[in-house]
Amino acid sequence: MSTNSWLRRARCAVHTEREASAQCRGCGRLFCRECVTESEGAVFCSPCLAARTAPLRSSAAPSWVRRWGGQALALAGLVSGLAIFFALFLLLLSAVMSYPAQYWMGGR
Amino acid sequence: MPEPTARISPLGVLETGLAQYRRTARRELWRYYLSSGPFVLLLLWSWRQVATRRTAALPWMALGLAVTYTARTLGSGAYIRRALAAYAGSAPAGPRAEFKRVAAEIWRRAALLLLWVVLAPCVIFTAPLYVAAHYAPLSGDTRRPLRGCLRWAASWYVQEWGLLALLGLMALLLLINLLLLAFILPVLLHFLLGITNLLTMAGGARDLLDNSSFWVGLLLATYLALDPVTQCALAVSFYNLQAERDGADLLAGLGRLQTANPAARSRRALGGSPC
Repeated sequence: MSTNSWLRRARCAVHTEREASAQCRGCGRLFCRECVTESEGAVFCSPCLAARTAPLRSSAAPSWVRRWGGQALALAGLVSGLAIFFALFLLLLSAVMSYPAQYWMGGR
Repeated sequence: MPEPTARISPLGVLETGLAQYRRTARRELWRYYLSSGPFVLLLLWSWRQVATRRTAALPWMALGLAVTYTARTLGSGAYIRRALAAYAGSAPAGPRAEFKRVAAEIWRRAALLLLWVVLAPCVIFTAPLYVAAHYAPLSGDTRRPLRGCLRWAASWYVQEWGLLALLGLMALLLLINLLLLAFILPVLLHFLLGITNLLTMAGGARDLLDNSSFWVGLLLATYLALDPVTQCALAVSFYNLQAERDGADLLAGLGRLQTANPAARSRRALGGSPC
């Protein structure tokens, strides 16, 4: 069976009487144009789109994890960002120091 | 969906960026210099300390530089966001300073800087990483900001090298101008007001040229003068890259046409020819 004929026979997973015109990037099932939504350059069916865009609060995590998990992650990001800046500047200053003074035009 | 390709040439980006810089300079530049000034002054001071081998406070200097660079990151991020909002004609975002957003912005910038240092020997990554670092504050609202800004930056690879070459040329011209100013101004002051300075003394010019802190200061001054223009140019390019996907520029153009020509609009409403 050629790809074209297979495509012509494919039906929407929800509306079986309709021809399929799109494939969900999330679950891979085929749908008609009405059953999919475009998001970030790809098409998704309703359940997959809902799962992608679901906020953290709808997860099954306990409330204290939901509340403080994001804050802790942000704090970790901030600290690691500052640590990277610190390490890079220390590296730069040490590299400048490692050159003999005459390289810096008499050390002035 | 095809990957976006820049509709606007590097020269067009720079030209529009310069116009945008001039339009917003009075309102927005203080934000940039208030955040970048302390970092640049501290960097100059640290250079002087290191060049004269005063090394006892090296970790403290690095810590001070890290803190002031963080402030610079946030200030320049606010500046480029406002430049983009002004160019797009939308209202600038309010003073949203949520902890999560600020932390994420600093993390993104640090990660890109680290990546840039690690990949510095591979020259081919220099331009996209430099551009991505500027896009980082603009892609904060997307789902994967770090990947997003890298993807936006990589999508106009050839044009951004052209833009960087033009900016490099501008930086060279600015450096020469500042160098001339640094030599002419003290001599003028001496002639007009009688102020004695290094350049009016015997061998003063030679001493100044031998001073590494002078050259570092000159380079930093050039950078400070040109960076806001770079930010505006990259805000323009970011808008154009996004507009190729969502058609925001075409919609804005249509809106302008409709407001500019109400007579044609009313004729269309009555069913007549718009011409």
